[in-house]
Amino acid sequence: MVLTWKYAVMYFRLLSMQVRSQASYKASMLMDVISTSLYGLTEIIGILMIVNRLGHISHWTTWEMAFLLAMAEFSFGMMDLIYSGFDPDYFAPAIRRGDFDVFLLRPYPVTLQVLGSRFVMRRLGRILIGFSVMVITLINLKIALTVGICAYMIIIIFSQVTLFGSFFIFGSTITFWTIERIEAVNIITYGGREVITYPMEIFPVWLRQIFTFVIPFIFMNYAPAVFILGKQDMLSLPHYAPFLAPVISGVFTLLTICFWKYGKKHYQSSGT
Amino acid sequence: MKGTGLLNAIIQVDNIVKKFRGRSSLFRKLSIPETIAVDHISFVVPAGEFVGYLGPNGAGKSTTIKMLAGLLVPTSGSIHVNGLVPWRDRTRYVKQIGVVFGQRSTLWWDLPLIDSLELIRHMYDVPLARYKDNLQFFSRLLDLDEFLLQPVRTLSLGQRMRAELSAALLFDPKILFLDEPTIGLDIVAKDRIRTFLADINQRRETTIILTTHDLSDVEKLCRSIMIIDHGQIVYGGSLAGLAERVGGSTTMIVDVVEEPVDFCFFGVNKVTITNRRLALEFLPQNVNVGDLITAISQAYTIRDIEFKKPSIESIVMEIYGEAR
Repeated sequence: MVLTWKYAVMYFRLLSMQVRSQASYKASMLMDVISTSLYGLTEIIGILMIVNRLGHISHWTTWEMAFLLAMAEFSFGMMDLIYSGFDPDYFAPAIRRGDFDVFLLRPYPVTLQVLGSRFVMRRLGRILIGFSVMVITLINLKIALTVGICAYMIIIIFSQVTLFGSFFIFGSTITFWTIERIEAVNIITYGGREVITYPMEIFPVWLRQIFTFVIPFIFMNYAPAVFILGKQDMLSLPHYAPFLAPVISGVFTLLTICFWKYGKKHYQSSGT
Repeated sequence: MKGTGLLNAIIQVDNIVKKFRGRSSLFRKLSIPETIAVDHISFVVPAGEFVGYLGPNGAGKSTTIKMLAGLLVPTSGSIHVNGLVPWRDRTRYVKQIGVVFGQRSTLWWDLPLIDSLELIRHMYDVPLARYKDNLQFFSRLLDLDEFLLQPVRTLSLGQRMRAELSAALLFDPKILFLDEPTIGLDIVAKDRIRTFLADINQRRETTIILTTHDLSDVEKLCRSIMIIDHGQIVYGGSLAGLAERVGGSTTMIVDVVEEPVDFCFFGVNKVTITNRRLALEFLPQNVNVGDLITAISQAYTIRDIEFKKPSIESIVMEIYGEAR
């Protein structure tokens, strides 16, 4: 308990170093936040304009699509912020620079130090956009924000953040062996983020089966959105489908933690 | 340094081997055969020692240092540092060692140096009073005050190295590992860092292991040296002993008035005559220099005498060569 507290304090100290580092370039940071907000906004508006033109995609209206998009945008942004240090694009060169040796030389858990080694504030832009669109759509669709629904949404967002976070950790761990980051990992991270923004009915059956049984994206955003918006389930998923997200992300997180530990061991026996 | 079981041994290395598996990457068909970076090394370092660890590039120096620091696990053999096994019990162990790599930074680039030092204070639970004392001490010896409030990225190489040293010593580690700390520094900066290291070693009795290619670092600082080549220790002992080991001969150069024809003296191994100059090579323990000079003066009129001792560079070069 005392140790957990100590670690939490150190984590926030490390984050504060990151925030202050970025704040030393105030203008640049502000520009970054604004431009990523605009980027996120145009992306959402672009898709919504197409949906609006068509009237609906499958049986999803423009506002319902907006909700699906916004929830994914918000949690991916959060993930990208919190797990910045595990972003394979950043982690691979950091290993080559010897940053990992520096972490091993300090009396704190390495994972904590990696999480505290980067905190990309410009992600706030997408988080802000995601959150705003989410709130606007909920109001527009007249969804009653009961305590239950709020708690449920927090759990779903938390699950999405940790699932994609575990993909980041997976992608970074691979670089212990490959040194260079592996492009293919982006398929599950950025590709996965793209996939969960669409209603699953639009995909062909074989693809949907992959998203159900291999990497169960279907339960991460689609099933919860159906549940929150009170829509009819066109895919006749089991009745417990909206509650699988935390289980799935828990399993993936556990697996990647084991892989990460194994990777660290490999690093200490081989060096880079 | 040789021999085991010293009572005050702080580092004890027994028969360590480090093999690197050849890289057989899944993604690139590049196969590199297995290499043995460190091949059965044993040594003991007494507490408070200042050891120079030398060797040509790729000899196994940094692999050894990485194992001592707990960054790498040896393939076989054991290491005990201050009673701990470096790679086990990592968090407890690293509180007792300071590590400075000449080529990489451990500080927060965009923030004033003081912020990094403050964070390190928290990381290592340094009591505030002790932290202030140390900061004052480093400021006095390294003039930290000059740049304490500057972002680390704006520091010169010499300033950055002084900052790194302060960061590594802020929590009073028992052992300090230095990997090429003077690389790229000018003479003034080098000298300042050397003075500081000597002071730390003497006053705080910090055991220091230094790897360097700059042999003047070693001459000025180290009481004992180890030389590694091809993964094996080819010399361990004092600096003076090194010259004897190689059989470092002295050269006496005598300028004379006449054109010398020939010269012989018992114990002199080699005589070279060039343009009114005699170069005599001999081992100091075999020849009485007074007698030698008398003998020369009987044959020729001496104008000037000069002695040349072998430089540490030439000695070390010879040792590197031997192992080949």
